[in-house]
Amino acid sequence: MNASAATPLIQAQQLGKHITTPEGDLLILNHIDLNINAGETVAIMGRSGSGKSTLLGLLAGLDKPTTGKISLAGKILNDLDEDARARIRCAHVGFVFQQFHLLPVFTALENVMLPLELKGIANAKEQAQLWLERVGLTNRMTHTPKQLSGGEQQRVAIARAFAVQPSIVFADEPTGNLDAHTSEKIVELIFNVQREQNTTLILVTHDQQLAKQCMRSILLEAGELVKS
Amino acid sequence: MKRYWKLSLHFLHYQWREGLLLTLTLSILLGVGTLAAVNFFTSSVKQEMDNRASELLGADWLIESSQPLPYEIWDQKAQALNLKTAHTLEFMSMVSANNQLQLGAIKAVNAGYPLRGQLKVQGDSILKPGEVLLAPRLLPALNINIGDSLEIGVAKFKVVGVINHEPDAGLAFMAMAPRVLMNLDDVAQTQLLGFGSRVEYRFLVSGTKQAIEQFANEIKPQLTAQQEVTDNMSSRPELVRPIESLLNFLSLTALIIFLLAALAMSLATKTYAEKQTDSTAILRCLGATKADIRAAYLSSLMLLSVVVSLIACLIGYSVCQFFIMLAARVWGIILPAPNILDTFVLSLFTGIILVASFAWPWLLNLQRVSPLRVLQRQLQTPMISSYFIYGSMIIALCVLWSFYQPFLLMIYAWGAILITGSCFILLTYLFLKLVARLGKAIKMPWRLGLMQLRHAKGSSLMQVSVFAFALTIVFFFMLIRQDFINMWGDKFPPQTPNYFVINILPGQLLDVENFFASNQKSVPQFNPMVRARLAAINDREINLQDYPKGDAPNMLRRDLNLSYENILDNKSMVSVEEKMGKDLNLKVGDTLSFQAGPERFTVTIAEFRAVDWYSMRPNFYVISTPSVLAHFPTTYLGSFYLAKSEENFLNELAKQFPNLTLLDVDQIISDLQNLVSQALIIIETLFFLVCLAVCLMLWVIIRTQADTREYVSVILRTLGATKGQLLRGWLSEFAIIGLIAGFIAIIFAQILSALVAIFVFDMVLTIHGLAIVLAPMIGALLYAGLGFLMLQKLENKHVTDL
Repeated sequence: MNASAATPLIQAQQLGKHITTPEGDLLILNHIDLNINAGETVAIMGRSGSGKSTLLGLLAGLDKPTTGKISLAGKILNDLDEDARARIRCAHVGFVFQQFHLLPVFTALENVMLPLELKGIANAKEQAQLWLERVGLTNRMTHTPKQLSGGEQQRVAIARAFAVQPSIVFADEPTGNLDAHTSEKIVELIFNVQREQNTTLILVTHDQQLAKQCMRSILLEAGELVKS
Repeated sequence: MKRYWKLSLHFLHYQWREGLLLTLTLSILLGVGTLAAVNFFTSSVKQEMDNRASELLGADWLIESSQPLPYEIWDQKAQALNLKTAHTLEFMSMVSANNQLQLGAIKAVNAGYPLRGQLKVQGDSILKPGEVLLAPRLLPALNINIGDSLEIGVAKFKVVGVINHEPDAGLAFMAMAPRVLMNLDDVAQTQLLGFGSRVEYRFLVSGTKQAIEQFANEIKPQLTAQQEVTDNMSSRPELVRPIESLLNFLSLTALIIFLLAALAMSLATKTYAEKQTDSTAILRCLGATKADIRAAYLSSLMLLSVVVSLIACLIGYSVCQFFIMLAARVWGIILPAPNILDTFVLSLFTGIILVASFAWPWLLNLQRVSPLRVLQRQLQTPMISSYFIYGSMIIALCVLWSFYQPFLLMIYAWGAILITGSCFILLTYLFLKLVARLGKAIKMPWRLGLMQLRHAKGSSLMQVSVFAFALTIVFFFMLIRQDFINMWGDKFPPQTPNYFVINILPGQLLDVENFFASNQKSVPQFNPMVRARLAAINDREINLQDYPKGDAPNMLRRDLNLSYENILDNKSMVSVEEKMGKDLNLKVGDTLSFQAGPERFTVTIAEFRAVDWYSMRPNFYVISTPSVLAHFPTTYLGSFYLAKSEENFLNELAKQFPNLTLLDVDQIISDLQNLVSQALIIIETLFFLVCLAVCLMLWVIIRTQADTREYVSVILRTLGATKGQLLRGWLSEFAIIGLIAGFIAIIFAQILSALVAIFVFDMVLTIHGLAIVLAPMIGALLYAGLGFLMLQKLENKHVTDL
């Protein structure tokens, strides 16, 4: 795939983020320039506190930058309020988290149905069932997260992320809470589905092996991009 | 829109599974259901009071006067408003037959009489000219039968029947002498009435409430000082007052239950909203807009509140039907059906307001949750101002209470809540500080509970305050209920006097007393009575417009009954009935000038005296000394008990002393007794509902605590604490909370019940000493017991379950 020839799905220019603390301003990200094309897989790496999760939050439209400009799927996120950014997330974005973040009282099926229903898709239940079958949880559909193992919970999260056929999926340490064997299976699943759907995948990870499976890696140090 | 409804319904389903909806549903069912039941019942009882009072008046509204009334002009005005009218005229006269003489209370009526209620007659009930109906007592007294003749004045009349029930018999003292009912057109023939005759003219009206109001507004400005208005609610104050007192009590209790339910709902929703923060962040992350969040959490609740409020109305209606059935089965009182539509609408509105003000504000916070919280869990949600949250609750309560309660009672209640609320928090804070100091000397594991109290200050403050509030309400209800039972339960012991004998002349007094003694009856205490009109207060002539309060207009229009005793040292002093003093703004030292016939005399107020108008013994507005009153024309009166089987004694008494008048108050006593028994059953039922509301409240408190306690408990167990150690630690905390809450609660319940007893129910202050000692122990046992139940659930949890 010739990524550079494609229109960037995400464009970040001179992105910066600082927060105000009682001790003064704290710089988290500074001068980030980044383009990510459709179908590309990108690993964001760096030490704890380097700003990886903050960058992911900004790229996904969960937060607004203090400085710089960011666009997702052709929309400038800086000018949008939280509801407008939510509509963009609903239309284009899926998430997989280290902590899984499934709704605890919902069953696996209901968790996967949720984004489909938010998107207003008519046959949400059937689609969710298909996706749970796809991730190998046919017999676990009516189970709540507490009744599922970590690996199974992450499979539900993957099904939930990809069910709405998003343009881009953000994954924050998707294997951080799993053992080596389960991690391997989960990574395989994520990349398989990503390839099938030609989804853009942005991964935050410490895992070199996982990063190597991505088309490119970017490295953050103290809030600055040192390798892109 | 369809998508939002779908989301709402889905969330309703999920929230039900979460358990929140159970608390909300129970709160609405209990709060709205109780209010609805009381509303339905109040509506029914008020209608019944209206009907009964109208029946007792023979009309809905009447004007009476000692001077002839302009019947024709008023008839025309009334007819224009589609009102029915009737005219009556009453006077005392001797009636004679077979050389027997008897004093009769003559009542002449026209064709329309009675407008309300029924005249029950044995014989012919339609009076033709020249015919009369008699009280049963008159037949043996005059030695005649139905069909015989008697003479009134110079005219002869045929007796066509016996009156078994006269609806408006209790309207005047005079009417209680044996009744003779005649045609109004026949009065002239008797030639009894002339200048100076003592006659009571009445103009009776009945029709719709609006028409009567319009008629009253037109007529009232034209009335003279002698023309007195009586509406259906003022005709039987002895019945109206306890019923109003009972209805006030019911409404107050219903509002207490409502308040408890509302607080339970608020606490439960607050906890639920806090637990939903993470889920909401995920929803926001997945692209849910604020509108989606509102749909998910708020619309679903609105749907729930409407449906559950409707069910609560139905339950309330059933409870009211149960009360109505109880009244019919046990006392044979058939209460009318309540006004269904108004009460349904009001109850539905109440349910929606309850949810909107006590549940919604907490959930509104959820739409402010940032999606970024999925990445940074420590991120705090900017909360909606607590002024907004608590303000909306207070405004909602004010709006609702203004629908249910008289304004004054609402002010009292709010004053009480605000003062007690602030005092609760302050006292709790001080107690907790004290306990924390003492706690340093105590060893582990008992100190565990004290440490928890000291470190989780906010939570402890909340627990003690809320538990104290719930206990205050239970204790308050128990105390006020006991006061109510004490006041009304023993009000009419067996042999309560059921007859009044009046009009005894001073020269007859000894003979009457001997007559009682010779018939083996206990001799009643006879009190002297002088009639005089209050003419001036502090030398200022009475102007009716200056005294609009309470019974003042009625008291000032007519002669008052005064009595004298040797109770006061100073000879020109008087003792005045307390309520009269209030209505006329009197104070000790004021002078009152009375007009008795041509003579005017002035006395000074020495004291105010509480009078029990339900004692069924002679009571007087004003009591002075013999030196002031004894030289005025005096009659004596007294009351006595007579069993139904001994009524012949009355005939003998009437024969021996024909000028005496007897007043039968048996019906009044029986009405009051029925009312009291009914009231007590209703109060017991409401007490049960109060206890339910408090249980709901405690259940919610425990649920709000469950997560934190589970966490701490599991950590301690993992660190090696035994179950026994944990139990001792927790129980010490619970017991202290209960002890403090119980102590604060009983003090406030005592103060509140005293205030309500004095200002709302006209009862006397009672101090319940034993309760003050027992309450803290009850609090400690109850809370420790609840805590013990909760701990049973935690014993098998491990770190891995967190």
